[in-house]
Amino acid sequence: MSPMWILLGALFFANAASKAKALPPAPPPPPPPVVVEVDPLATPPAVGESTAFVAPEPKTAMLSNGASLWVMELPSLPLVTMVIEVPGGSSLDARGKEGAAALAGRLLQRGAGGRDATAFAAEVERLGAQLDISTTRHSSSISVSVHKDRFPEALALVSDMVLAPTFRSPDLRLERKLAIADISQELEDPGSIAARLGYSLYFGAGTAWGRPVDGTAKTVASIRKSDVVGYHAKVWSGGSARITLAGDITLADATKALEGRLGQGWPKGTPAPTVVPTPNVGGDPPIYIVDRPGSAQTAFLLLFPGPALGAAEEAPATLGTIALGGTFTSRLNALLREKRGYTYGVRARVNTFPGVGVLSISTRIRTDVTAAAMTDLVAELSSIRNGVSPEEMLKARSAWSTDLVETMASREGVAWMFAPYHLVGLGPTTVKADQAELASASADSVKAAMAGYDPSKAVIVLVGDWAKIKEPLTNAGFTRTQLMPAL
Amino acid sequence: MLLLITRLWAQELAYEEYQLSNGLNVILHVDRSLPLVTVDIWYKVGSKEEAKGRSGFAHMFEHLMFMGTTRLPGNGFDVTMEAHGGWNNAWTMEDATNYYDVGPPNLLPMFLWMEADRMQQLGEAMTKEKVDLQREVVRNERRQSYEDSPYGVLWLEVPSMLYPADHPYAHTVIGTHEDLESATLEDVKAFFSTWYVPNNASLVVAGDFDPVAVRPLIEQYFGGIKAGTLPERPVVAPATQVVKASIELTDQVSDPQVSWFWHAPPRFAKDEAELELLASLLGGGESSRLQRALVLSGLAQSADVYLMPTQLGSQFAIQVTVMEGVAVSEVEEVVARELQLAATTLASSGEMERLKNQFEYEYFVGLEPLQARASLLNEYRAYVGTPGYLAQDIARFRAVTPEGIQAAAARYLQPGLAARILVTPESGSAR
Repeated sequence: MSPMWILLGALFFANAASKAKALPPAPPPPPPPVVVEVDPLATPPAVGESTAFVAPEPKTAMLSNGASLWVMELPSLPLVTMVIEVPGGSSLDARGKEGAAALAGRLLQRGAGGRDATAFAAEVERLGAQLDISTTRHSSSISVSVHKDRFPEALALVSDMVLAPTFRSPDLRLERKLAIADISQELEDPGSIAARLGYSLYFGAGTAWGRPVDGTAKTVASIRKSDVVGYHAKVWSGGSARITLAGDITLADATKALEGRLGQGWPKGTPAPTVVPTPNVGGDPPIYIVDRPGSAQTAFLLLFPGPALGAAEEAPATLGTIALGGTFTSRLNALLREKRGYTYGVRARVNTFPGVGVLSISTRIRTDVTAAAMTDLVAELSSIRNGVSPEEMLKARSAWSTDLVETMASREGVAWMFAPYHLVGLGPTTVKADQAELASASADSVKAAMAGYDPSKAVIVLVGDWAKIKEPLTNAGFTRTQLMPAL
Repeated sequence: MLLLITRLWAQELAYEEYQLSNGLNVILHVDRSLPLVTVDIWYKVGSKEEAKGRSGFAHMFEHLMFMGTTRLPGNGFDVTMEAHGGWNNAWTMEDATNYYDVGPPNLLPMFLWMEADRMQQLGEAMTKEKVDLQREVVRNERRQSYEDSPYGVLWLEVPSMLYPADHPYAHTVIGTHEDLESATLEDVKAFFSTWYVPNNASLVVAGDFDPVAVRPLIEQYFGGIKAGTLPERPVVAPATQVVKASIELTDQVSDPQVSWFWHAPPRFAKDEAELELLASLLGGGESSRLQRALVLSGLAQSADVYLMPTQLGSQFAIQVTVMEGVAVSEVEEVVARELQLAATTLASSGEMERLKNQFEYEYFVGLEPLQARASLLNEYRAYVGTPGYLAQDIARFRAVTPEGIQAAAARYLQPGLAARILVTPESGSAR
């Protein structure tokens, strides 16, 4: 018993004694109080009902050139994040010019509106703005986060990037060199090596989606100014643009500012063609190995067919995947990290794109237990295909809800939460609809979604020390392996 | 305009602070804008408190804090909170270990109970099996983050180059495999009973809660935990000289990377703000000096400059990954020239405007997450003695002058005071 509880008990009884009456004649003195030790931590508290939180929905407008505008008004801080996204991306790269879309994006930061690279960077940074460029397989985007009072100046810079990029030849030469250096750095990291090869095999080597977004050293070296200028002209049309804002700005103010900068001066244009891939899975492929002698760990990447962005299966696949490898107590972490001690952690995710999706599992496993971990993984995948428990369903729903609330604290997080739905033409109520679907997804629908975790239809890539892992893998029954070069 | 943000955040970081009779410090920060709470506990024990031959122990202990107690055995800590939408994590550094739980408001009593439970009795429930298991997890973390990470090996060498063997920072936070393997169950129990006591901890509760209801809960759960007798912490003279000036390592990388590390003043000490802005002047953004001189000129793939602040003295670092075909010496000459320039000339007014705007924007965006605010309150309290340091913290950056930056560069970044590490490609790794 702690001193504090003894003290409180003593004070209570002393106080009670002082209030005892003196008449009539005093009864015999009471027995000394029995102090019962109470452990204040003996019983955990009950967890009450959670507070309902309804996902917000942005307000919408359309600029005169057809650009769609979503604004999530969050006035509590004087900050604004804006994401401008257009369909396109690396899937439009010509064969042999892989990396052109990504390079065109990188060059947008190297000068616009008559400013050279140094002057442009200085102006962005003078504003204290955070400017980012992104190229995916299916889109290009510019995002900027800045103090609201400097948003007009930041918008002017972004408008210049869209309407008047410089694309100077010396900048192209430098950026090409830096892009090749970045690819080289990616090829030093086991996880990146696995991702470059894995997604290429998943979407089909050589197909529009199966080529690395940033290309290879060889293809990037062949990119000319006409390639990046051509890409920019093809995809950055006003009518295709989806502009998502979050922060201390109203829809009316955003519309006025954007109309002035981008609505009238940015032609509607023609939407870039889109490419919808078909995953190259099935046929019980081998396990692909990239040899990395001397590795202390083996990087694992497993890719399975998954739901597309906005598909009905997205909610149940999300719930099941959280149960499989989305939290500390998820099945794969409980087994491979906490029970076996094979790894620092495992992560399972649902990656959704327009028209296609991927279920992925990634981890880094100690070299000497690579085969044992693969055996465990396959067994756990077999188990998850039987569905998840009610407790796992509840846990997954709760984890998703907390993540949603936490995202709402960040302007950048909110803008990027809505942007993917905005791009593919789903409505501003999509996050709210997702919330409802996650709440109502049945155990059967989760079980059906988990059927996707079928190793016979997966692309499995291991990056590790082939001389040390080959024999144990063979002995464990993984006899069909194929050595592959890094991509 | 920036002043407005300052005022807003000063208001947002309103807090109340008090101590329990056992010495536990409590800080309450209410923010009801979202249905979210966080509990953040900062224990003033880190790798600098590790015994000789036990490097990595404080961090391994952090892992063991999630291995269960008598009241909540096994992985009950994680299972309980995850069942209701909570999550948690922790991190260890040289000076401290920080634990935090995040989730919906209905989990707050459970968070408090679970933190009090493990603060009171984790040691009783510790077993050799738990220690063995987490030892392996930590060794996997070491492999993943340092041994198999490009250029990661250099971080294993920095402490011993900068600090003499008897300095508390002379070893890495992650530790060596040998020391991790040496740790025993008895070590764990002794470490717990020595350092994981309420008078060595500070508890922040932040988010959507009612302080009137939470205060009695904190008293109920934590009030009965006995205070400990904390060992006297040795007074350590600031290190100013490096132990080893230069080493060369190899790694599975394509191109060389050269790094320099200097001693810098302790966290929140005089000149820290000047050095933070000096780091930004040299390497913060595309228009910074080293970015222009090295990256935009095509000599380097990247140039990173930063300050790593800690209690007994910080480290200032420059890391440059050399472009293929460029001699390392050419990069070194540019860095030396830019350092000389920083030490002898003043930053321009345009540069100063950039530095302050960038700093303040990043500072405030970094405070958007509730958990980051909770952790900052504890950090302020640990290093400067009060959670209410935000306004002063911002003010010291606003007060930095070009002369102050120049003086800091001249004083701290002298060539003879640097530890240099060159990482070159292993045979067969180069392009």
